[in-house]
Amino acid sequence: MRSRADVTGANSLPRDPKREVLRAANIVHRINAQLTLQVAEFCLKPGEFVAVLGPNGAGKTTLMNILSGGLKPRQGSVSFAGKNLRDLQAPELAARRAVVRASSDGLATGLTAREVIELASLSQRISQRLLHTLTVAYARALDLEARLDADFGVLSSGEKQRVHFARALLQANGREPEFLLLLDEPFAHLDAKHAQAVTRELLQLKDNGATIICILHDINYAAHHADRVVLMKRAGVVAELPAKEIMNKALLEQIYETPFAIMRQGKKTYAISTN
Amino acid sequence: MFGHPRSFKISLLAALTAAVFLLALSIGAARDFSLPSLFGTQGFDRDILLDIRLPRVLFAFFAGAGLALTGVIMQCLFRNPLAEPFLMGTSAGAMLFAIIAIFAAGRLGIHFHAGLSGLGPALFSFIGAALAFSLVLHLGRSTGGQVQFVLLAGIAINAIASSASGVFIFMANDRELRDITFWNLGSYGAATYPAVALAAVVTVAAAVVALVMHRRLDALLLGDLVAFDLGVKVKQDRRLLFIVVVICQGALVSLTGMIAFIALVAPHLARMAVGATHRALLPASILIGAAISLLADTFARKLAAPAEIPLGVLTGIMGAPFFLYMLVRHKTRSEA
Repeated sequence: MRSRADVTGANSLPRDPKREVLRAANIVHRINAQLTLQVAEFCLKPGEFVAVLGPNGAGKTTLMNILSGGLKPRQGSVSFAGKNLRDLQAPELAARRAVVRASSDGLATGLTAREVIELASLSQRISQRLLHTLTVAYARALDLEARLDADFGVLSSGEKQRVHFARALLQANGREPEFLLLLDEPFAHLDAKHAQAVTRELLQLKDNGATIICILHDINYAAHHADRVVLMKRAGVVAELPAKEIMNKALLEQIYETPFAIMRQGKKTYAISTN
Repeated sequence: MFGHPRSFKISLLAALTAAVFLLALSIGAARDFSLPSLFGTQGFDRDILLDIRLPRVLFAFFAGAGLALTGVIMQCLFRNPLAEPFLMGTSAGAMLFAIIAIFAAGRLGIHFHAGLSGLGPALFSFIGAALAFSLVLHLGRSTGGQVQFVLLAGIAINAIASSASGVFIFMANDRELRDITFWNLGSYGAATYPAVALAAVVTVAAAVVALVMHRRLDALLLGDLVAFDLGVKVKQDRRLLFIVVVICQGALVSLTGMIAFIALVAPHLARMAVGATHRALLPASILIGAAISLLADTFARKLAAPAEIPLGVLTGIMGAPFFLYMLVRHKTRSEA
């Protein structure tokens, strides 16, 4: 695994800087009667881990929906892997990116956790045997092995989230260098131990060359694991900066409108909401 | 674990359905045959078996299989375990148009033979079914496309079509009324070899399409957005599946009249037996639907022989309590 030191500063990645995994330009999309998402420019470079931070209702999920191809923006364009996102069909997209959405609705499907994870192979040519082996391997890594044959509908929120994460990992399996992972609050329902398991897999994926964009509410997590942070507020991008620079009291207080303290513990810095 | 219990269960269901098929073939109004004698009948018996019993039993097989199949697809597309032609307005649309056909024919001095065997009501009811179904879909989509809106749209279309049917029933004369009632109660009385061929073609075609798409159907269970993420061309696949359902269901309902609940009950029983993944669910539902249909039709033919109990009444009596049970179970589950 690469050390954390040489992945700071997205612009200094040892890859062709001209290549971009994804670029969104001049996006305008109405979120609701009060808010219209406006993003002049947004791009992702191969292999970088970008965290999207911002208060509730900042338009993070809407931006994610647009970048994933699931939502067509009213105006503007997104290019992904050198093509216009509009021209890419679902199967081509699924072979190059996986999405873990914030909440799947509660409708009981009747499918088991295993069957949900194995649906990742819709966009792959993969033998039944390998699919089964990989499913078990990812399930084990995410502490889901005992739940594989449980009804997906009766799993806890945290388990559901890990099932979808395992499914996304399986979707990325074997094609990481060109792969993009879009995650909407992947840790929302996870306890510390399981969050760590997901982090381990995430960093492994990044080491293998995958690009990751992740909506987060944990400022410290973003500062410690991401390369770059995109700050959003009121349906727009307010700032983009190297992840370490997020540890800025004035900036955080301006974004979240609540007091923060910056603390140091060993080599790491932590931002804490002090209310 | 790797599907073996499942394939075993499906083989078991296939054997069971085959047994019910033979049973249905051997029992009838005119006379009953013993199983060994089924294959060596001669003369009059042979005529009964080949010209009357066999097409009827084949028809029951394909109609039940097809209805169950469309039930599975509808429940997936609407992401609602209660979706079926009765709730979604398809049957009511078919009925309204069949009644209009019978009524109009009555005014024009044409009398449809036994209400069912005429091509007129069948064709009309097909159009009615397709219209009602597309209307429900369209309304559901324009109100946000959420599952509950589609279901509410179905209930509304159901009410409109039923009320309109009521107007025609009110105006109908005795003879038309008999035709309408007969159609309304559902029957396999239309089972001639051409009808069998039509039912077989639409059912087999729908089954092939659905089976080819079984993994995409699984993905659609997780919702349109997740299915899209997984690589499903959601719009295109949904459209194709809707067309399949409209054609299959429209054709079957137009031939049988209102056969209640097979499309609802068979998929549920199948789900309990083999789970929700469509690779297993589709064949299991087809088999269970065919078996229920064969059993119900055998009762319909035999219980009051030589008269026939309307099939729709029988499936309704058997299916409605099950439907209520499902409602209660569904409610308690979603509260848990």
